[in-house]
Amino acid sequence: MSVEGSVVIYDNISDGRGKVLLEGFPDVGLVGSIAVSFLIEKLKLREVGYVDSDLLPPVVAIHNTRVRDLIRIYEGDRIVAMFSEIPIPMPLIRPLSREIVTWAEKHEIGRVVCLTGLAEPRRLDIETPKVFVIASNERFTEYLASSTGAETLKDGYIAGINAELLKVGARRGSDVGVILAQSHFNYPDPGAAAQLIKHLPKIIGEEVDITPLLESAEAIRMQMRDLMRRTAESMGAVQKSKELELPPVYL
Amino acid sequence: MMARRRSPWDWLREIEREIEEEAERLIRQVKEIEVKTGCITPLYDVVETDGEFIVSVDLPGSDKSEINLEVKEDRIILEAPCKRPSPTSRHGNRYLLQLKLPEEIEPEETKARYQNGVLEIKLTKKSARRGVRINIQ
Repeated sequence: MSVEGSVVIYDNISDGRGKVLLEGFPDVGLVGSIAVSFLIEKLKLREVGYVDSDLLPPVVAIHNTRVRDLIRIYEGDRIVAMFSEIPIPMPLIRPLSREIVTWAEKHEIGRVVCLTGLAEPRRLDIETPKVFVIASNERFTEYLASSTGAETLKDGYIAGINAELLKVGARRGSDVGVILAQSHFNYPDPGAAAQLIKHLPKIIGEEVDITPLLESAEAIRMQMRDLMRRTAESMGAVQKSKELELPPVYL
Repeated sequence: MMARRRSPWDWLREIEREIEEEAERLIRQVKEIEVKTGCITPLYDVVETDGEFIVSVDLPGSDKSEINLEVKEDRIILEAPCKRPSPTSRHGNRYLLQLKLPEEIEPEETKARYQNGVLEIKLTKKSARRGVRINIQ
């Protein structure tokens, strides 16, 4: 168990050493949520813990008659995954980010990689979304770029919990990275999630066939409609539209 | 008893709470409409430019030929069957969206395309009618 502020991470993780933590919280196009939930199922990851906080709404999920926590942790041979059924509430973003990095360090999980979407207003005209990487330090950015073959995000903004995780990583000298695929802003985008997964083999240590994800894209889009609606509502609070802007020059 | 002075953080928390309540109200409204109509309210987005409204609607599981789009001067009404029943099975398998536009448009000039399950509708504002070109002296 690990505690920071009002956030508690309960876990029964067997061995985190050298593994990569994949975070896929609800965000642009639900790309991270779709990608991480697909990987949890395909790689048969075991549920090993959950996050609790008094800043979370008093809600539980029921799956097949089982009561489940909203933010859950899964473990496999090479990866640990964190998945949330709700968008992370604004007041929880900072304490949760700090706690995730602390928790990863405690378990000697070497790298934290956030999977997410990069809003692309012309997504409708893009067949194959581009994938970008950015990390808390140059070395890890280079590692992610070379491991994924993705472009480095040179200028721009990241908003929300991924931004906070990057910031915490940069300040503590931890390896935290974000991998982003161009996606719809407020429609679930399984195509973007599939494209993102295609770039992950060297990070997660194995190839994952994305065909089932693409085949069930329509069903996923329908199933995740409510989560997308709720996430879109919450994205305003973290100035998500800032990701569409370019930073000022000369600074 | 002296009243406690409100700090800026109190104001921020109050604003946050109001935003959350408004979001919750909107989501509840959508779910109530879905229950009452037995139809699915699709995700949609409206972008306004100088001369147009660009409405995009996420319609996974629909067929282009079965989308019924009716455009009036001040609103659009969209109905479409969706082939895949909703996995939650709580609502019907039909999309319904009635959208009131903030400004009147020219229905005849509407253009629409359906790609990868997303319908994009371009609506020309009445106010965007071209004026007369004036030569500057």
